[in-house]
Amino acid sequence: MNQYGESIRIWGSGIYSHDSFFKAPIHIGTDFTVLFVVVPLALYSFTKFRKEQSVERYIQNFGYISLLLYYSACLAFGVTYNRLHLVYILLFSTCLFSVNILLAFFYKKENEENRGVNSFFTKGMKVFLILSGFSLFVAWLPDIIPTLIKGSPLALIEVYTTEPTYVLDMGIVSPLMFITYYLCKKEKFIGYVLFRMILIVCLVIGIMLPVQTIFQILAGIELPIPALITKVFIFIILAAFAFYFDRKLRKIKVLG
Amino acid sequence: MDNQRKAEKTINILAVLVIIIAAVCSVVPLITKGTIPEETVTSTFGQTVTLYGKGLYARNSESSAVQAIAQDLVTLIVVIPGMIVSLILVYKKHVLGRYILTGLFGYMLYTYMSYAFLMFYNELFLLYVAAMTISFYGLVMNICILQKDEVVAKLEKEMKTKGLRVFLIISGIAIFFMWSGRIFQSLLKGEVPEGLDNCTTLVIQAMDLGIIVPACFVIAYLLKHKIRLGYILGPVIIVKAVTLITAVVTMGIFQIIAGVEANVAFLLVFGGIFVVSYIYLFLVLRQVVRISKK
Repeated sequence: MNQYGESIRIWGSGIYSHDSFFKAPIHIGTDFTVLFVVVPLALYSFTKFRKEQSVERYIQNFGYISLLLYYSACLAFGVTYNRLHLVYILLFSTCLFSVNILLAFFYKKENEENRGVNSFFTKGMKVFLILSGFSLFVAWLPDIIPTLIKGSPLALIEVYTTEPTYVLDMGIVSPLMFITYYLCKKEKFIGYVLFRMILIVCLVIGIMLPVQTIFQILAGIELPIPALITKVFIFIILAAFAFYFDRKLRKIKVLG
Repeated sequence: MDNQRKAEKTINILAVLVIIIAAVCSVVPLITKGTIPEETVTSTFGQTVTLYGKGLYARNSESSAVQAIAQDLVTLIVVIPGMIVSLILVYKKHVLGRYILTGLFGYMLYTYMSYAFLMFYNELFLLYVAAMTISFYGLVMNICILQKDEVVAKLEKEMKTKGLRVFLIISGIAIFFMWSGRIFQSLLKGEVPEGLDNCTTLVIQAMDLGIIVPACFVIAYLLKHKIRLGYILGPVIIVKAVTLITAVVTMGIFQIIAGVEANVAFLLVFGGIFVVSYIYLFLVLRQVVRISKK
C-alpha cells in the first residue's frame, strides 16, 4: 500500500528491491546504458584528452560529465534509499564540481582570450533548441496539470515522494536550452559549449529511453502508445537531429 | 543598454519573481487546514510513520512537516524582507547589496530544491520548481556580475581570510560527520536511517554531503590560493549559511514545541554553527565594507 491507499507492486530484488515494479526496470535500463555506452565513450574521451588537450576534447569531456551529473542527480534524489546512497552522493558531487570547474575554464577562455564562434547557429539548430526546450514540458505537463485540476496525486507517484525527473527537466534542463539559444544567437563561446553539451546529452537520452522501454517490456509492463509517443519517440527524433548537428559542429573552427 | 546593465535588470526581475513565489509558498501551508483520513502510514521499509495530517504538508511525516513550516516562517520573516532590503541596497549601489542578494538566492535555491525533491507532491509543486530555477539562474548571474566587480579585486588584495577558512573547514567537517555518521550507522546495523520517515530517500543529506560540504572546502581552497571566485563565494556562503542555519535552528525549536523527538547532537552541531556564523557574517561584511571604501 502506498501513501494514497493504492496497492503498488514492488520490484523486490537487488539494489532496487524497494523501488516500484514500474520504476526499477527504468533504473536498470539507465544503468545499462551508462555502463555500456556512456562510460566507454567517456573513457575514450578522457584517454584522448591526455594526448590532445584541445578545446574540442574539453567540450566532449564536459558533455559526458554533464550527462553523468544528470544521471547521478536522478540516483541521489529519485531512487528509493539503498546501500549505495553514499556512492550516489559521491558521484553527484564529483560531477557537479567537475562541471563547474569546466564551466569556469570555458568562461575564462571566453573572457581572457576573447574567444568567439562566428555564424554556426543555423535555422535548424534554432528550431532544434526551441523544440527540445518545449518537448520537456510537453512530455511532463500532461502528467501534472490534471492533478492540479483534480487535486489528486500524480498517476505514477507509486511509492515515491515526488518525481525528480520533472524537477530536473523542467527546472534546469529546459531553461538551459532557452538560455543556450540566447547565448548562441549572441555568438558567445559559452553558448557554443553549452549547445555541444546539450547535443551529447540529447544523443545519449535518445539511446537510453528505448533501452529503458525494452527493460520495462521484458519485465512484463504494458506501455500505452500515447505515452510511448510523448516520452520515447520525441526524444529519439531529437537524438537523430542532435547526432546530425554534432557531426556538423565538430568541423567548426572556434575563434580565439 | 550594455550587457552588464541588461544582466542587472534581469537579476532584479528574477529577484522580484522569486520573492512573490516564495511568499505564496510560505503563506499557503500556514493557511491551508484540510485534513486527510490517514493518521499513520507504513513506509516502503515497513516502518509506521505518523503523518502531519493537515494542510498542504498533510502527507509528510509530522517531523518533516513541522520543520518545513519553521523554514517557511524563516523565509517569510527573514529571507523575503532581506531580499527586498538587498534589492534596495543594489539600487543604491551599496557594496553589500549584491553579496547579500547572491547569498539569499543561494538560500532560496537550497530551500526550493529541497522542497521540490523532498516534500510530498502537492499543489505547489510547479512553484517549487519555478523558485528553484529562478534562484539557480539568479545565483549564477550574480556570480558572473561579481566576477567583474572592482570591489572583488580590492578584496583579493586586502581581505584577511584565515578565520573564514577555518570556519568553513570546521563547518564542512562537522556536517560531513553528522550526516555520513548517520548513514554509516544504518549501513552497519542494516537498518533504515533515522529521519527517512515516509520519504523516497535522504534528500537533505544528499544536498549537504554532495553540495554544501564540498563547497565549504572548495571555497576555503580558493581563498587560501587567492583565487577571485573565493572572494565572491566566501561572503556569499556566509550569508547563505546564516539564513539556512537560522531556519535549521528554528526547525529544532519548532520540533521541541510540537513535542516531536528532536536529535540533540544535530541541534548542538547546528546551534554551534548558528552562533559562530552570525559572528562571521558580521566580521566578513564589515571587512567588505571597510576594504571597498579604501
